[in-house]
Amino acid sequence: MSTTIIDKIKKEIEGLDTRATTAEIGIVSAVGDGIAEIDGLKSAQMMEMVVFDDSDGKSLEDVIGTQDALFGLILNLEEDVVKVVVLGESTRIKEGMRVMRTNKLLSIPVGEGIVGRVVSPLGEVIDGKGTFEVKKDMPIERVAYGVMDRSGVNEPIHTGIKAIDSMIPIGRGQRELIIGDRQTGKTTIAIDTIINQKYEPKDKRPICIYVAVGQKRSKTASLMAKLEEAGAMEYTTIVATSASEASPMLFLAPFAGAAIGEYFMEQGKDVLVVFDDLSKHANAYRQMSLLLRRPPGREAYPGDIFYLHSRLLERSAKLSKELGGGSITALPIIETQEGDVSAYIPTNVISITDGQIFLDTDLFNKGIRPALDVGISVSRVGSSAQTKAMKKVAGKIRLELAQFRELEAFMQFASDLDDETKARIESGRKYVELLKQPQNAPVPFYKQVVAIYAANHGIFNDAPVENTRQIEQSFLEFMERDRNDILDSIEEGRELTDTIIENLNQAIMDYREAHPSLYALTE
Amino acid sequence: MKQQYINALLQMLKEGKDPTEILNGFKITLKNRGHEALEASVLRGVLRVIEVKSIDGAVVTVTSIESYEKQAAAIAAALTDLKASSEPQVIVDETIIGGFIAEANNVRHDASYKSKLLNLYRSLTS
Repeated sequence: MSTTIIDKIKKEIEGLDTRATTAEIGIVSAVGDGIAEIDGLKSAQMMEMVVFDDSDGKSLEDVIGTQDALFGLILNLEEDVVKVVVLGESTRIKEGMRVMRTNKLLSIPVGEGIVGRVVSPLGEVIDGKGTFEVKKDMPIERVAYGVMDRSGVNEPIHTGIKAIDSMIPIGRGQRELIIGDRQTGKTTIAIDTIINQKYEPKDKRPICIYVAVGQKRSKTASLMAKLEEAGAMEYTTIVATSASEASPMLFLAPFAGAAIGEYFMEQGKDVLVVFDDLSKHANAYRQMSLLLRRPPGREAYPGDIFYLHSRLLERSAKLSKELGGGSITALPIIETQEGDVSAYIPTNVISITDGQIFLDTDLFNKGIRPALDVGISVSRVGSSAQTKAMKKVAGKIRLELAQFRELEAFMQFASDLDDETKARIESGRKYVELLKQPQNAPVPFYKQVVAIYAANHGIFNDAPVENTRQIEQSFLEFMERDRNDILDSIEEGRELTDTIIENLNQAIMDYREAHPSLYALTE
Repeated sequence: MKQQYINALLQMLKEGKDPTEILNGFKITLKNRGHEALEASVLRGVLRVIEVKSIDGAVVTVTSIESYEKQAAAIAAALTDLKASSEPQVIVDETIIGGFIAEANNVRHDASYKSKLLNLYRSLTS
């Protein structure tokens, strides 16, 4: 046995509280479907944790040989009984079993060591890499910061996705919904955003929290492997719940993610939380509420389903300087059915968030990926957080795409169109190509600025549409190789000064001269 | 209506009437009044009240009667803290290893070795 383990045991024995404990007790009068009815807990509080005493009459050896303590969460206070959701195997509970109050509201243990780990909504480490040092217990449910504690969103969070960073910018402290049908790339956008944070300077890099609500275990495992491969796990925590877990765990997962985020936000750090996804979260809450016999409303969701998501998402904030200036940016994900954004949960979450990124199945099938529908995607507060450099180049791209969408219908009559319309369509198609991006390949913002600037200033002129992405790639390689000074100055200054613009124009000319083969139409 | 039946049955039990007699009378009353549907829920309600009452009364768990006598002073102090009004029911349970557990008025005072050791084990392994 190593000395560290012996030291730990010694420390625990020295610190062991040998005083008797006193706790209010009740007894289980009914149990079923993960819900237990308890008699006798007269002073119980909502959201308080209780512990089921399944050690009664069992020897110490038997208790140690079975499982950990079995906890429950009080969610209904009724006239005669208290209803508790069981946070574990409800098969361990028997009628007549003693239940003790803990006098603690449900909380999650947090510390710096939680970063890089996979945990359950109760803070238990589930990646098999041992425990982490707990610094604080953060309450799972708490009231969000008030108006005076907050400041405006004024700093960008770069997703690394050109279409988003240029047209739907997200700010630190914003809540931006990612919405779309199944298999349209919602999780990919969230994961790319997490991966892209590695390009941020360490002091400004947000801590990322990915909350998997009722996901397949295989999906969470492959996602973790992707993050590890990209070197993003070192600043990421995964709160994982699988589809096979009881609905209370799924219900708690996003709140646990928010609680972990708040721990870091209170230290003045920036945090990015991805809730994947809130549709499954709403379903879990519906299941739990029906079992608790709460009255069902529209689509059988309980009456407080809006409040559930609003109180969760209100916890993302940009704190004022006096409170350290930390932030939580939330990227909730909603899965729609057949593109119907007017369903109950999608409309709720759309109205709560500060904008949405809508992903379209048709675009996805056409090969436009990310399948972003620019027409109905919007960011309500992010533009004030956009860097000056991006703001300067991004204005034109939205206009070009809007004009392209209007003219797109006429593309089939290409031979009858006048030259100006043809040129507009051609230019639009090139912008669409420019905004295509493979998954797990986020582009740092300064490269995005350079690519979009070059597109606005004729780098694709005279080149066939098919060569657009090749030109973009080789131009960025050329810039990295020969004009890295320009990239550096945009990364540092975050704006396009006259000198940078002059140098960029020169670089575009140099590139065109050096690569005549890519402009095969005229050269 | 249900609560009134529960109260009436509890009152009769409290008065020391024969439970079989009470049950038969209860069934006849329900039949005469057409309230048979309430039978199960009323009986469940009565049972629930009795169960809760059972944790209101003082209960002390020890490893042996000798152990109870040795710890009499500590147990008495614990029961006073718990505001136990009646003489405690003593349960012998060797699995608590040592110490005692006192329960009264829905509150448990746990001074058993088993829970201390269990806490130590859990803090070491979690």
